[in-house]
Amino acid sequence: MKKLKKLLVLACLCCAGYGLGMWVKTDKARDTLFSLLGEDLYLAIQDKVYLLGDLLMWPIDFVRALLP
Amino acid sequence: MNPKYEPLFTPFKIGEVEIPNRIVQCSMGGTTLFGWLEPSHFDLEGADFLLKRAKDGVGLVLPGMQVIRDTMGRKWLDSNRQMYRVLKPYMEEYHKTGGKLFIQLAGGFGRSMAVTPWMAALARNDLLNKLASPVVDVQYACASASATPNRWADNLNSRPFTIEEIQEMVWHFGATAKKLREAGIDGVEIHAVHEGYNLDQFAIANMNFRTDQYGGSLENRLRFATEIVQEIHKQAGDDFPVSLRYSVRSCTKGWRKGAMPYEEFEEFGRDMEESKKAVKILQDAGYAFLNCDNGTYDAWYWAHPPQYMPDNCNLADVEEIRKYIDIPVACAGRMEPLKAAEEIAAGRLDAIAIARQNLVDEHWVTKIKEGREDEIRPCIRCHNGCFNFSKANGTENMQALGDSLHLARCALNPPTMQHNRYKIVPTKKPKKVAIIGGGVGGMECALVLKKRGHEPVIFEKEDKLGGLFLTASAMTFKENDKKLLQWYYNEISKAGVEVRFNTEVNDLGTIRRGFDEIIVCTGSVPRTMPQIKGFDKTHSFRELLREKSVEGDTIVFLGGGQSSCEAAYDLVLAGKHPIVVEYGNDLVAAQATCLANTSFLRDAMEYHQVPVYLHSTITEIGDGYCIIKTPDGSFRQECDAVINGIGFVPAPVGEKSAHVHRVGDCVAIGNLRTVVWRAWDVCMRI
Repeated sequence: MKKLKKLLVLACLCCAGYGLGMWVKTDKARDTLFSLLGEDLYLAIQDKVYLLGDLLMWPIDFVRALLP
Repeated sequence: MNPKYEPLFTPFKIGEVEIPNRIVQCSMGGTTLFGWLEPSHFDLEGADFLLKRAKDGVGLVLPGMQVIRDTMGRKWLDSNRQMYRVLKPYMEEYHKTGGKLFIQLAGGFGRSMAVTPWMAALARNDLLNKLASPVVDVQYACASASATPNRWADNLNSRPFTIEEIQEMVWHFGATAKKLREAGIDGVEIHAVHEGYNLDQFAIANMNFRTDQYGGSLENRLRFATEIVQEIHKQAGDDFPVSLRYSVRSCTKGWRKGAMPYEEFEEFGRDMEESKKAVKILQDAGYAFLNCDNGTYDAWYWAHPPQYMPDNCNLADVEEIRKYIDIPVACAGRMEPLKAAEEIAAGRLDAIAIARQNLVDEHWVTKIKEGREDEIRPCIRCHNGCFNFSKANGTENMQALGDSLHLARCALNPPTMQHNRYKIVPTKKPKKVAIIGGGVGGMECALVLKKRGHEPVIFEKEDKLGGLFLTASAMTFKENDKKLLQWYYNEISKAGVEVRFNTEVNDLGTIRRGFDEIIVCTGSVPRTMPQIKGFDKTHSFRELLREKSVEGDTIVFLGGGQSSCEAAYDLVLAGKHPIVVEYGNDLVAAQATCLANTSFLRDAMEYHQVPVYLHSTITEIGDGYCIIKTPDGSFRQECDAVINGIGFVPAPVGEKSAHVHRVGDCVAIGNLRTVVWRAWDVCMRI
């Protein structure tokens, strides 16, 4: 039961990470971050935000692609 | 359409497949249908880009190279059933354009694998590599014909493939081709005897020391490539056309040493004589098309020619090799469409292969057909967005991870391969926008704003648009940079953008009234080092290149970056004698500049015997001399001028505020990519 719970938590974390990864690449996220952080700061870190999105999505994409 | 282009728009056949015209889009890493190096999957961004190219009228599209076994995850390309299921309806849609699509399959990189520092660390340690192998097996990814030195990392040799591994790979080429055919793909291209990739390392005698059936004679060295085409025909059918990516000559002088286009040298790789025999063997084995150029990773500027290489740089060799075979032949490498049309009409060539022009202008074929060539945005071969694998002395591949994950974007055309990130959305609230500075950043801002429905006005202090790019494009070999400037002039004029020339803005307050937003694009000014005695005697690149006011024969460059090396090369071509003094351990040691570009400049400096002082600086500048301090001591160098090549610093005007934005070098020193992309980033939100 404990193992199942741990797996469930891990799965939830992965899904949340994947969701966050997808979100940071959307127009909505871009506009939100742009207004929150301001033009200079957002544009300075924009590439890193996209990279974060890629990296958050990567483990699930990796596993998905390994499935036949 | 100009009738001279007509030969380009005639059909031709590869095997039994008819290609509607002579325009072939060369494979570019990143424009893949199944992902770039990561576990294979149907790649939506790549698919969107490739379909657009077919809609523009490219006759044969070759998506980015697909390694037959994924570098990440190590899955064979034929194993993802879902991917082929999605591919089928895509190809049905694709074929409605009338175009054809061949998938380029590769046997990997071998010693050319652009290993990063962490990959090199894995490859050098058997235990670490074993632990990481379920995700990435770097030793396998770098495996080659023989133990040969990696192009990127020092002290790293490839391990030789076993015979079983070769034969396993050959079978998977066949199995993949079969699945691709079933999904509606028109043919495959084997990325093989080309550019010093893995299969080319088998083919080149100096890179293959094997004593089994895959080494020794030319037939044996080509066995891997010939077995692949035979296996594909066995599994996918004899009538399934197989093209071969082929380098006619390696143009390589040794490990990591390329040959200049005008150089006489002893060939380290494949020379023309061997090539003539090789193409016959390959044709007899079953290849139906040769997609040709020259070069290896050691002479990368032949396969990925930067602006320093001549136009049509591979054409003569490709036309020569065509005489020895009966199958059609395409030529790649700075090909001019008009020249290619001429050659096709004369029966010396069958098709033109073009790569990076497809990234910079998504309508270039249509524009030719409609007689609007002057509207084609030219590729300037900077490789900043599409292909910025970079390396300097002692480093591995320095490319940023974000760029490794997203190759084939374009410095000049941000929507390429990122169409969801950069797009024109018409504004609901048109605004009047003042743009201070009419360089590339200012002009790009104006065009984006105009397309969105705003009203931009450019304030330019000179009587000409272009800014710093007027200096950067002034060198003799920068013809395409000049064409790019002309393209901007035409577009600005066509869009009806108001430009106020000879209007310098030093105080934003004077124009704040009357404009809703202000964008500052005032660029940069040369960095100074007043601690160097006599520094005020240095000259700027502007004086040297644009104003041509620096006279003399011996010109010393303080700093060995890209600007200095390009200017020095320009002086060499003019018969002058430049000297380069660089503080670091290599020339052009920049993360953002492609090795194809930087290695040309380094090789050119060596070939032309330009004195280069690394780990050095200038301590004093006087009339007719300077003092150069090297690790071995200081000496007096007689010279006619010293050029300040130590870099630039941002020169913004006014204070930043909610309605004042900044674009380009006035934010941080970058390159055209950082300028153009930021112009879009800012203007998409106004």
